[in-house]
Amino acid sequence: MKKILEVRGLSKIYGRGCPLCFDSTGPEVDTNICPHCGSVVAAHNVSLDLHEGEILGIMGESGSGKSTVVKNLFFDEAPSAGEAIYSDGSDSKQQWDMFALNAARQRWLRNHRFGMVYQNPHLGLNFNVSAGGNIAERLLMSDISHYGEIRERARQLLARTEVLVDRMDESPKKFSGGMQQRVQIAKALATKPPLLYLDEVTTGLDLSVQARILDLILEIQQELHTAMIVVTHDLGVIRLLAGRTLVMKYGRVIESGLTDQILEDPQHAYTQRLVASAL
Amino acid sequence: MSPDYELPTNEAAYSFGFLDEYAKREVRRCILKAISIPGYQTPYASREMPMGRGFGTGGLQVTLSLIGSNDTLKVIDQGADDSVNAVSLRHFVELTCPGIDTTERTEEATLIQSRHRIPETPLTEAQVLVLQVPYPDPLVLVEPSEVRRKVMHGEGDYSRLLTKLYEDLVHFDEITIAHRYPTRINGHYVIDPSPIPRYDVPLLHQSKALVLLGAGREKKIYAVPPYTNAEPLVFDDVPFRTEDFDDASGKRRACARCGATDSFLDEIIQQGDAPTRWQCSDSDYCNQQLAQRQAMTKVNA
Repeated sequence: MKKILEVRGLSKIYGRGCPLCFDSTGPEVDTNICPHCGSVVAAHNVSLDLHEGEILGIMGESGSGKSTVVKNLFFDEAPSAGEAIYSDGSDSKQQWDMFALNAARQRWLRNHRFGMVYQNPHLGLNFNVSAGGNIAERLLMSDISHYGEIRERARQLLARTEVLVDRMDESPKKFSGGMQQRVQIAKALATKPPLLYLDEVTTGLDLSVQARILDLILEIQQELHTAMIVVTHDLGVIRLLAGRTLVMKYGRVIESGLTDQILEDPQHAYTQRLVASAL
Repeated sequence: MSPDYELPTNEAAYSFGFLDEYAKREVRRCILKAISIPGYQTPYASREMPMGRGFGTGGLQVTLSLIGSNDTLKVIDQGADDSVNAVSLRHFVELTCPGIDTTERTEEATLIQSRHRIPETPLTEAQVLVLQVPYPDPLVLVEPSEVRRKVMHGEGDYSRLLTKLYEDLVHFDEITIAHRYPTRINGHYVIDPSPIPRYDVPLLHQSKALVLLGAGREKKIYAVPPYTNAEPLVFDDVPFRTEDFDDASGKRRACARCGATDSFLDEIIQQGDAPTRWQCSDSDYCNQQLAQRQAMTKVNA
């Protein structure tokens, strides 16, 4: 299997930071706020590998830094330290040192190679334009400027994600939460990205809708062979989607491995508590 | 301004062109920068002028910085030389720049300050057109933060502007921007070409004259240099369309005054039951066409 993403030593500090930050935060000291300077260490020394077509889960409680990792990888925020190499799936010869690129190159990579589905559709969708317009925006970003083609692609994508095509010219404002999430997925998939980030996609949806969204994600993964990083605090989602899982606490990866292994035989005390509480 | 008003006779108080020499130098530098980076909105320190912002102060500062005593100035407002705004501005420049000539004939002018029209008579390499701009940034429609707009301009990220066009096509089957049509200059920056009608946008493309755009309130100067590409933002399969002035039967309307069928027409709604009149918006062009026509009828008679 070809490796498409390799992250090494990713750290993100909110605040000015000090030399003692990393030593005085973490699961051992039970905090992610540095007592010396008050900065928040949202992620420290996170390393991960992602292979083509694989789904990697990142699990942890609120504030553990899992969303921060994904936001950094999608260039929503800039990391404080660390390195990430993205290799193109086709021949793996083309490599991007993601955090060393300039803003325009990062934007290109983000528009052409990555997709993101946020927990809150307000972040991923523009509610002032129609559902089709949201997909059009993404296609226009990747330099497709043929109106007929954009229209056709948007129609196909919405049909694929089971949004009524008749409603494609309505604002997503008028849609239910599940529908909005489907539009977001359609938008993220518009450019057929090799890498998709899913940040708490099913949180806040009712159970039957959750199940259908998860089904859709799995189907897409099989169809398009898209690699995904799934961030969630829901063990059920991890169990269903992810082949491998990282467990994070206070910005650190405390355990990683095959999902089955982690859920059946957790090693770290925190993971044990997490798994026990869910069962 | 009162027509009897005269500037103080003390020459030291006001320099030629009202603006002090430092102000003119700053504006000229910004103009040079704007020409060097076609379409880039160059910030400048817009001065207080003796008229309200929004009355053409941006264009006026550009004009006053460029004008010399051997220049011939034409000032137009929506195509007309004789509307209040044009007359006041012309009078102000005459007062503050002793020795300059003014004209209403497009081909005689070396410097043309215009509010929202490009003259119908083709401009030449020897002419400079200054347009007054209320809103310089086309991205203001889709992005309220100026900091982010600057980044978007820098990266050439205009996808959200195109999304607006997409939405127009979806809802109305055509693009509904009547004026201020976003136009890409020299393949990169997209400008707001001031509120000129769509009809005038193709005139910016490979224009022989230098076109300078000045926004006084927003403190920006930008330029379309001579022989530079100016392409309206469109989709590959939806061509740019200008106003056609066809009537219900598909026939091109003619100017009710001079009979021209190749000019931008103003729709003049009459009182009572009288039918709507259509007349050239460019008063100088209309006068010239009318004179030609009258000369022709005289010859024929």
